[in-house]
Amino acid sequence: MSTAQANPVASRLSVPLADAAEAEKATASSRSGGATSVGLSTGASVVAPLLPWLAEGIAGAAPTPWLVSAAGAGKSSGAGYASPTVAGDWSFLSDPSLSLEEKLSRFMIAVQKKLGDELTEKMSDYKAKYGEGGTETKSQESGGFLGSILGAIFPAGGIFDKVLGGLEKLLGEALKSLGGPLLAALATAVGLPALAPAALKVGESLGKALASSTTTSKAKTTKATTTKSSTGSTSKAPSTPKKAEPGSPDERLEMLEIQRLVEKQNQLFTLVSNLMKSMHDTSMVAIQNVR
Amino acid sequence: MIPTIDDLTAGRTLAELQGFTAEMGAAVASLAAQQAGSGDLELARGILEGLVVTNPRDALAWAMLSQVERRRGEPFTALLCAEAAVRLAPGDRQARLVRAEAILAVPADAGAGGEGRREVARAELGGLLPGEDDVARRAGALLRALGP
Repeated sequence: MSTAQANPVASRLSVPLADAAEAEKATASSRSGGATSVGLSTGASVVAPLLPWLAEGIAGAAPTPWLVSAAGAGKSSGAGYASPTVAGDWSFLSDPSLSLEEKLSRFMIAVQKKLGDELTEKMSDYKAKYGEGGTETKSQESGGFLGSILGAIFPAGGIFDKVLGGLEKLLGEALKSLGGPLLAALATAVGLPALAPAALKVGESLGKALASSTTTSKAKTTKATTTKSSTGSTSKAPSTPKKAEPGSPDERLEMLEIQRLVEKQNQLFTLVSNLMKSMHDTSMVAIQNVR
Repeated sequence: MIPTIDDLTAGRTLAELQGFTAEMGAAVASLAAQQAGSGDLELARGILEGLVVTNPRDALAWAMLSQVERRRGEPFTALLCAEAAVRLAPGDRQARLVRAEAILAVPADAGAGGEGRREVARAELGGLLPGEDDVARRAGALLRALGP
């Protein structure tokens, strides 16, 4: 057995002793159960600032019978003890009190939660990118998104904040008139490339809305003219802007990703359900055999 | 190659994806300048819009688009484009001159800061005076036109 193993206190001394002889003395004194404190006083003066618990033991009643106290037990390396249980969502896996069935069901719940979160996130992404007519797009159209770009171009507190007072509406109108690709380019230019896809979409819908309103007004004029001339035939223009055509490659990719996540959930359900069924069947066979 | 949403959000430009070089961009810009000089503002605008969509980080294209929009009578669009140009090239004297011109083009009675805008433009032009280049000459001419 090595000295370090025989003497746990000496092994904890990370401070180098004055020389090897002193180290030997310290080892010898602790081996003898504290019968003599020769050499320890020197060691204690060295380690006292670093290990007060050790110094206390040494500086107390002259021959200290035991240097190790309950207070010092917590300072051990922990080797040979059970490792602390894993905290968090997956702690149940190392819980010995749970049955395998219980662990399986909890596993399923944990994975389902993870997949559910992932699916929700994907759907939110999809809504943000393609959800024309949704509340998010409406709020963006109504100033949130354009306001972000405008705010990036003319930041608050800047010199333009004072001189462009009251021009926000006019600048917003100018921003809308830029159209999808140009709006996306502007978003990239002012350091907001993350807004570029939304700018592209919003710009498209704004352009379509503008085109539609122009067509509608033209159609109304035509209708009025035709009514006046009593021909009876009127041309009907679309009154609402048509939604953006679904089916772009990126949109299809997003849908496929959502589909993949749903299929993954179904597969997991099937897997766990089959596992539990086979375990139940095995148990039933054992019970039948006992009967 | 068409940019994907990931490309757009990562800030990759169409020019990068399609191998559109700076020389090609400069050639397109000079074509637009030629058209604008000959008075065909709509064509120049179309060319420059295509250029900024291809490479939104081209400050020169934004500055030229700002000039064209100003001459088309769209001061607010011109201001947006000029600000984009200055944002991309803060130290570029041409971009700053274009922005000062765009500020001056905003009608004085629009909004509350009419006089303040003139002062901002004046300060901006004053900062461009040192030098013997076209920018300095143009800035000096504008300052003289603005008066004391």
